[in-house]
Amino acid sequence: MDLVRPRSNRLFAIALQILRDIDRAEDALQDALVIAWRDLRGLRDPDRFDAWLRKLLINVCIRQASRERRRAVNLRVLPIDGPAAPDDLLSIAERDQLERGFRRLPPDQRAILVLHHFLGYAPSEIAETLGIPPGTARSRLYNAHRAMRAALEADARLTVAGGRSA
Amino acid sequence: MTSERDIERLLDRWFADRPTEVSERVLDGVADRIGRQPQHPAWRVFRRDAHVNTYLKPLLAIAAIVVVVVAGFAVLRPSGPDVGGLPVDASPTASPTPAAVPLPYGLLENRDYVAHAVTGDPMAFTITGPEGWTGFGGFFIAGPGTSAAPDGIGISFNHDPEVVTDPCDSSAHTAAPGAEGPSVESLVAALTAREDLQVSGLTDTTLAGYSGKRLDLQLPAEQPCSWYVFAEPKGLYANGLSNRWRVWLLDVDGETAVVVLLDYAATPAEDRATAQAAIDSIRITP
Repeated sequence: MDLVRPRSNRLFAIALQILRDIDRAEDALQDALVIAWRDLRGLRDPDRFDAWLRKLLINVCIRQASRERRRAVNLRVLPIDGPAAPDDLLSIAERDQLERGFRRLPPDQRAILVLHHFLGYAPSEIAETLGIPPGTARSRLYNAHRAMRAALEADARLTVAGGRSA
Repeated sequence: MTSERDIERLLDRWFADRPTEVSERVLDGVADRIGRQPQHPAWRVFRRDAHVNTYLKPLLAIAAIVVVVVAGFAVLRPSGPDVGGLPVDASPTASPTPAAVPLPYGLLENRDYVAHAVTGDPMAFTITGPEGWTGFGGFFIAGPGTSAAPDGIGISFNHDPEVVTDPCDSSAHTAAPGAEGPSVESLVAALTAREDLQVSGLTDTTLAGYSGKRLDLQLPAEQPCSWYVFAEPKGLYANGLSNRWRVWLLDVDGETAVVVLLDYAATPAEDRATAQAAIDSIRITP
């Protein structure tokens, strides 16, 4: 596991950001690492190992999230760690709203947002990771932002109306 | 109204990197699962290609240690509980066929697995293996090289799915609230109505003793507006550009069972044959 151990926390963080559930993120990471071990023969360029492993993990996460989106209401909520700095403070209400909005997104859009905002990938890097043209990555990122905005606005309307369920 | 910039700033702050530590238990689980693959085909390739890829050597060594440890553990505890080790006794004694088990996340063996469209769905699909393929989510089997383009393959199981009607909105689908479940004919009609899907080869078929229709779908070759064909929560979407789906739509006592074989033009014929053999092994329990 020496090859994987230094990367495992970062990989787990990616899975956790997409899936929003510790148990499912752990399952996804396990699956991805087992598949990686199995499919290493297909990796011809060692320099691509990290990108290849992330792509594999993201695909596993998308599949899992896609299948179990509707079960989110029963899932454990992510622990909220202390903010990195005062400037980064988001209110509990904002975090809650973002969480709900994010969970409404299709899994592929969640993955795009995690790649861009969590890993800091530019659209060209997103394109490389997902194996899609750069223009497509840009448009998918734009659509993900638009979907997130729509989800937040829908959530705000429900909050105002007091009609949101648990 | 939240602006594009506001959304980006909010997301940047929300995703702000904070330390996240994975449990050792997770990595131990990976080692255990790797150790349970007694005849992994990649081993032979690893040996041959080890000089090519510098990453293979340490991983090979790790995996070898894991196998030795797990095998040793099994030998030292022959009467203990199942530790998932390698077979201790390789003598060719006859053994009963193992009972079907729920389709797991992870690598499959040559045994029967039970899949469901979603957790708790009553309709059960029992399928044999295929060994070396990978189970996902209780409803999907991928492999051996994942189901992604350009040459992957996979098998999906579904029960009374809803077809996404708007290629740009995966939340728009065939079923209305309170409506009855779909029929084979309504599913064929909904799939045919999707202008972004090329339908061909519509024919009568029988699978697992149930009759119905079989058709082939050619999914988009360029980035689609949405990847979905079947809507959530029983969703299924293109696993890559130019994905091809062979779809069995079966009438099971008035409900629909749907089996999809997903592949690509470049998928190896050997993998297709394996998939077809697995599909031929399917039993359906309503």
